[in-house]
Amino acid sequence: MLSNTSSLRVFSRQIAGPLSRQSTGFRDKHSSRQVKRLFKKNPAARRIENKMGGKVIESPPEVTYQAILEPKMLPNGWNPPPPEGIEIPEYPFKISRTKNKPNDAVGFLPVYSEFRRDGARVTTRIKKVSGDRDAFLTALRAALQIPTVNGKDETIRLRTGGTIEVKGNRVMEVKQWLAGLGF
Amino acid sequence: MLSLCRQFSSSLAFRQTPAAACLSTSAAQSQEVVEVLKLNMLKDNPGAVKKKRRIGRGIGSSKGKTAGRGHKGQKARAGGSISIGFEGGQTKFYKLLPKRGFTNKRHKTDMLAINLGTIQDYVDMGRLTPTGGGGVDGGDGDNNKIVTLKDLCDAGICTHSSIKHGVKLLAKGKERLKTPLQLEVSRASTHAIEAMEAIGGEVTTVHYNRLALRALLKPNKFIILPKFARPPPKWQPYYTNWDANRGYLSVQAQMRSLLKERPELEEAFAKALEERRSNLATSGTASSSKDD
Repeated sequence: MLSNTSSLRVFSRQIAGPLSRQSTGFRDKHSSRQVKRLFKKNPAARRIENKMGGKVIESPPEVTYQAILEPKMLPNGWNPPPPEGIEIPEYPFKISRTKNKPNDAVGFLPVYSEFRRDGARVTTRIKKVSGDRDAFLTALRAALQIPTVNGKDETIRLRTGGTIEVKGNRVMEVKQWLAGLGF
Repeated sequence: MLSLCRQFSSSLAFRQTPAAACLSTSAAQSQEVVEVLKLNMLKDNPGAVKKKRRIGRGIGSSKGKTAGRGHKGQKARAGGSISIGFEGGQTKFYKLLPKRGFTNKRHKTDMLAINLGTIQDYVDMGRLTPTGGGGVDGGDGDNNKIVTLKDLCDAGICTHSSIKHGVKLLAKGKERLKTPLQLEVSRASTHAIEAMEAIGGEVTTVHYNRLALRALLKPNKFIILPKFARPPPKWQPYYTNWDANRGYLSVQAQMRSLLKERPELEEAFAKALEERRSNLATSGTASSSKDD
């Protein structure tokens, strides 16, 4: 994994002029985001990938956290919190519900869908994740059955502010999984 | 930040003594050459600022001379444009057809539709409780468990501003209705009334004009709460009808609210009704029977 990226870095240094990323004070023609985008479809990068043995797809991680209850969802997306008697195991992460509801009622799980107007980007966003984020991501990958490609996982993206973005509209899946865990 | 300070001090040290170490930010493996941030190095990222297209500046720009306006004519002139809808002098489309009629929209009373399913969901979420405040009769808190428009707003089903002239109760999601409530709304559909009464709830339709809505939804705005007005003649048939609308001015609705306030009267009423029935049975004339 490490060797792959370092080879890419070496590769980038070999290209002179506009694509070099050395900070000697002259203006780069492309921003780092633009470079990343160019490199995604670059045939040379693909050649290197094939040399390294092609796309390495690892299976999704094992499911470690089992559901402790059957979540009951209302049509508006709300699900009741776990009842008093049930013992909720200790998780390394925590997803807090939305707050400040009338009559001190329990809020919703903070899972939202995000759409671009033309439908070009459809994602699921999970907010208010606290605790061990890596553990949460592994558990999420296991629950949603997301494999890793080339050691990287392009389905899940971390946004600034701690929001976790998953490709596709998987709000119901995520909500049912979280409700099953007892959040 | 700390590493930058160290860099700065190291560069100073280099000027003074030639033996200055090149510091690296990361601990062991990679050596990164990092430059000190200077004021003359501040610049936007490539692509952040896009230059505007300047019209009429020479042949090479491809927008010189006529600057994209073609040759002569009204549109080529400064300030040269025609107004929207102008058809060159031909009668405009919206002038060809005759005016017709008038709109009475100013007197329309739009109701906010709230479904039974939504109400049940809010009860399930714990935001709406069956215990409500007083109703039209202004009953006490404990006995009267009437859910008014204010309770619906407080639960979050609607906002004060969304209720323009009232709320109509509709029956979408009536299958999942399971909490009997005593609702007081502006209007109600037949199915909604049926569904609510089937599980043991009550629906009463009450007329609220704008002042009444304000007093109901925002009582803090009043020093003395006003009396709620009767419905205008157009709506009197609606609110005096029990069968179709459960109107609050109907006899049955008034009896119901009276008996709730004073349950001891129920016996007296029942007795009087029996007497009257027997009187009608024996003689054909109606005899007056009064209760205390």
